[in-house]
Amino acid sequence: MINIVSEHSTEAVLQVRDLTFRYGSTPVLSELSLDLYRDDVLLLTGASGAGKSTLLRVLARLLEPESGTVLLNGQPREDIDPTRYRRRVAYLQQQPVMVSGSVRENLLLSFRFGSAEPPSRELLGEMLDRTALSGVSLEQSAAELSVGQQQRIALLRLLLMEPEVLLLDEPTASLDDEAARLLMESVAAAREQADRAVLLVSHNDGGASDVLSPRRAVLRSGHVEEAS
Amino acid sequence: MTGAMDIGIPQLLIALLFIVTAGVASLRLRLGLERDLLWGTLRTVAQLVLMGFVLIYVFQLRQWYLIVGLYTVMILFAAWIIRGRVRSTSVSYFLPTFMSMAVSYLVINVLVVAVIVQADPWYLPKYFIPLGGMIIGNSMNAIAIALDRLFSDLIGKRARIELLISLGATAREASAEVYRDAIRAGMIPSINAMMGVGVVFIPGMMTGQIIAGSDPLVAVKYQIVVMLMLVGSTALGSLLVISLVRRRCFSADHRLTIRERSS
Repeated sequence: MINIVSEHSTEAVLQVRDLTFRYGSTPVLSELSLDLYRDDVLLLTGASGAGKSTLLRVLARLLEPESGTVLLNGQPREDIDPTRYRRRVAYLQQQPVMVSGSVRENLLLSFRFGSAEPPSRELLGEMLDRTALSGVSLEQSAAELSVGQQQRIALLRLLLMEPEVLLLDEPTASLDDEAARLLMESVAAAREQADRAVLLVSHNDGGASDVLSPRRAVLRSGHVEEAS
Repeated sequence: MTGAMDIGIPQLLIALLFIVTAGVASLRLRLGLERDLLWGTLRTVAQLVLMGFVLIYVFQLRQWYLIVGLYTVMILFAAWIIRGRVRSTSVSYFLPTFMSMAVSYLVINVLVVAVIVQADPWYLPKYFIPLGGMIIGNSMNAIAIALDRLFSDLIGKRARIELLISLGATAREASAEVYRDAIRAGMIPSINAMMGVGVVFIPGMMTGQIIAGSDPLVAVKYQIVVMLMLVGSTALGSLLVISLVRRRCFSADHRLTIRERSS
């Protein structure tokens, strides 16, 4: 087992041990282990089909692994209410999915499902400004936005849940360089703001290096290996 | 009631000309439907003749459990037919479909026969079986449509549903829209039928009663009950089936687990 552990002195926020997953009889993840720390960014690269997205979907609890454990702050995730877990370990899909309605409705989507008070209009406006979305109105249709803008809205939507871990699934795959840089800056700000742990998967750098200075690892044959 | 005029065998054979016409059209236009037409005609004749003899026997029965048992077998067949009409997925739905249909159709049929028609006894087969058959026949289509819509939407809108789940929604919350759309899709045909009845078409039951010599106004009252009964059974059947089957498409921890089957 190659354990991807950095020199962080703090305890891991997310501990993944011996995770195995297969689609039918095809093995995808094979006794995979990794640790993710507070204020940590791990960039996981790998060839197409290596299982990067599958790993994130397993960690986001959208897929059930065959075996292995996932601990969130030392607590087995099976002991945590699944809806609560997903708010704490937030997952950003590769393609931004907007529901029909305004930017504001999209930002406040998670508040439909919880008891938390939604933030004020002013606070949402400030968030947009900080995410280089100052030209975007809260009341305009989310469908009118560019893919890059939608992806930043999708990120803000997750951040409003105040997650401890961010799982980012090739978020810059369909973005141009400028949009990718803006998104990565938003991720960097989100990390600094609350010492969040970030697990970013990408088939290449995805524009992360310049902005996030991540630890690096490679997903190969279902295992995580330290990048050379 | 004077009863309908009997149709002689030679006259019945003349009706085959309709099928011959369709067969010729199929051959000329290369529709490839000749075999289906032939098989369909044979089945129609055989099944209906068999049904005629069965009904003669059934209408003499006076044991409620035999009538309810027969009705349950009819529902079982309907649930079986639905299996062939709904896209194949990883979710098994036969049992919840059958159970929901059995419960809702029995309740509605008893209500119609015993309370509205006021037949005595409440299971009088002459009313219970034909009316029950109409409920099954119509509602079966509604349930097939609703189930197919549920499955196709859950698979087609996976990204949206998983987004909502990722944002802390429960399975029920994440699939609320899909659930509503599926039930609505199942109910629309019976609601549309209410709009057109008596204007666009004269329904089969009313036609039958009139030909059999009933007062048209009596036939109308029966038809009104039937139309309302069909909407009710469609709604109740779809609601129960979709509610039970939706739960099978998710895991206990709200993961969307339904998968499409290629074969």
